[in-house]
Amino acid sequence: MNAQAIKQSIKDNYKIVNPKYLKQTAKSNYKSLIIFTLVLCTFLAVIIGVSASMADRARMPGMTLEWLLSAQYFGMMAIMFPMIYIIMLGNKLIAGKVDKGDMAYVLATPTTRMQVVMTSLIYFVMSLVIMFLCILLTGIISAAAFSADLDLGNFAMMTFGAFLLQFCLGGICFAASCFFNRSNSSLAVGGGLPVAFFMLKILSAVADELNFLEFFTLLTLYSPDAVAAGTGYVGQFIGMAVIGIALYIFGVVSFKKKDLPL
Amino acid sequence: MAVIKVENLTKDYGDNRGVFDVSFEVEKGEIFGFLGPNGAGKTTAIRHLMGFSKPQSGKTFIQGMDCWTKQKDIQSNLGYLPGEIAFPDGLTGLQFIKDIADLRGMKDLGRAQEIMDIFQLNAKGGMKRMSKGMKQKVGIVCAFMHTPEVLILDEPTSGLDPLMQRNFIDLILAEKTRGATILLSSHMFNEVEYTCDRVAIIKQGHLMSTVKPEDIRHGQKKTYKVEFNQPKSIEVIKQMNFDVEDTQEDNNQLVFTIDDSEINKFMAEISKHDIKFLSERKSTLEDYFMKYYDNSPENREEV
Repeated sequence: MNAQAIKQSIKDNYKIVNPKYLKQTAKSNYKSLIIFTLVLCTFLAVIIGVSASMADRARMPGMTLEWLLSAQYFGMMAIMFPMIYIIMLGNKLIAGKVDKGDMAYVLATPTTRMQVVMTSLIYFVMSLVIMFLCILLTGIISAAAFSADLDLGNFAMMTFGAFLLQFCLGGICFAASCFFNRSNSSLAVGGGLPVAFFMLKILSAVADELNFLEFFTLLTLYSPDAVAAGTGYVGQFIGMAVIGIALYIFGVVSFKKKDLPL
Repeated sequence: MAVIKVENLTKDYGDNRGVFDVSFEVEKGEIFGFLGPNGAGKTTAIRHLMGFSKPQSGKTFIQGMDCWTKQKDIQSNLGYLPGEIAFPDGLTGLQFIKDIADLRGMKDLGRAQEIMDIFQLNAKGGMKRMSKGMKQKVGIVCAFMHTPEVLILDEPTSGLDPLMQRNFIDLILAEKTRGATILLSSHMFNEVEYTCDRVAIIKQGHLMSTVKPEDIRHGQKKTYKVEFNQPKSIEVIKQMNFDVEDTQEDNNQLVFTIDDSEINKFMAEISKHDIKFLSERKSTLEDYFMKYYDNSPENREEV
């Protein structure tokens, strides 16, 4: 390598995000993004399509499109599936590579830890943005195609809230992946906590006596019903964003400072 | 100026694991060996040189730059072969090599191809199906392909067959001739003995001794084994003032350590007896090493 090439490579590598590493990360992870996005979009299109084409007399009482979306889609599917995605991806991006050891090859190049962790973070969040943008578009297109009675403003806000929830839970996965050197520990915390939150949310809805459990789960911050009603969700949305950002900062800092067992 | 410099490096992992007050320097164009069994602290020291770990106390420098803070500047001119071979799944060897080259900002893969040829590596197959030796070769390509000035190699020949080990030794000798500075950690005596200018022996995190293999080979004292035909010769010779290291009465054998200055006197004395054979036992790095470790044969297997 001649002097100029070295100079150029040093200059390139002072950037926080490394485009080459981003490309490689995208290349090895885009498949799971496509699969999860396809599943979520298909569900949504089917729900809107079936609901719109159902004759009114065949409809069970209360099974409106609004109810299907807020309780079934944004209350279950659009929480559960992206959650599996962020748990898997979060662990794979950092802790998986550290535990396995192939992170050593990346860090042995002039790519810094800061670049590795920031680039991974950008991919992580951007892939969630893409996933929910696809959901939003699918909703708008399906509503138009099936001439469904859908309040697009509410739908967009529900989608945005579902994204913020995953952004927030993703903070747990990502921070755990950065903090722990072992995949097991990263999955136990980064996967265990979101799953536990999900269970608590389900339990809290089972019986009135268990209602108090909703104070122990982050999922309470996202209520599609509140969005549909149009009140009492803005503060919660801000809360999810703030918690998420704090967790990402914690992850980045801990990865930058810790001893790596490579 | 020393290219690699470790100053009073300490990292205590507890249970006597880690490194303790380790200091050494590697000069430009030198091959420096790090010899010790698994768990002696070789990899710990290397982690610090790579900036993967922060020293508890002490400092490490490469080309005058602090390894913890100047990682990226150091690594544009450094090649590293990790001791653990692990690669991402789902890539072919060639794709992985290209990815790493890409992260280094390299366009020219000519040297990578040369090294693949040296090791007869066909990297087109998937990494998942590769044997340990093939993966090791992929790692070697990644460490050498950008012709770095500094090379840090952690147990580089593990998994390679004897022929390839030889090619590897030729490769690092060629790199040395080119002017590269090499730190080589190993638990194999022969690869260290025939490549390294100096060898540091490390035991439980402490640097025990630094030695030049050449000095061991050309030491003033040599060891000879003599077998006599008559048992009584042993008694007579034992009366003389020679340094007898070992006696095997059953086969009438004696092992002597004789300084070169005494060799004529020694030869004169033993030639008065009826000798079955005389052989020199070469002193090796292994003998030297064993002075610092328990000399029992079981341990010898381990190292």
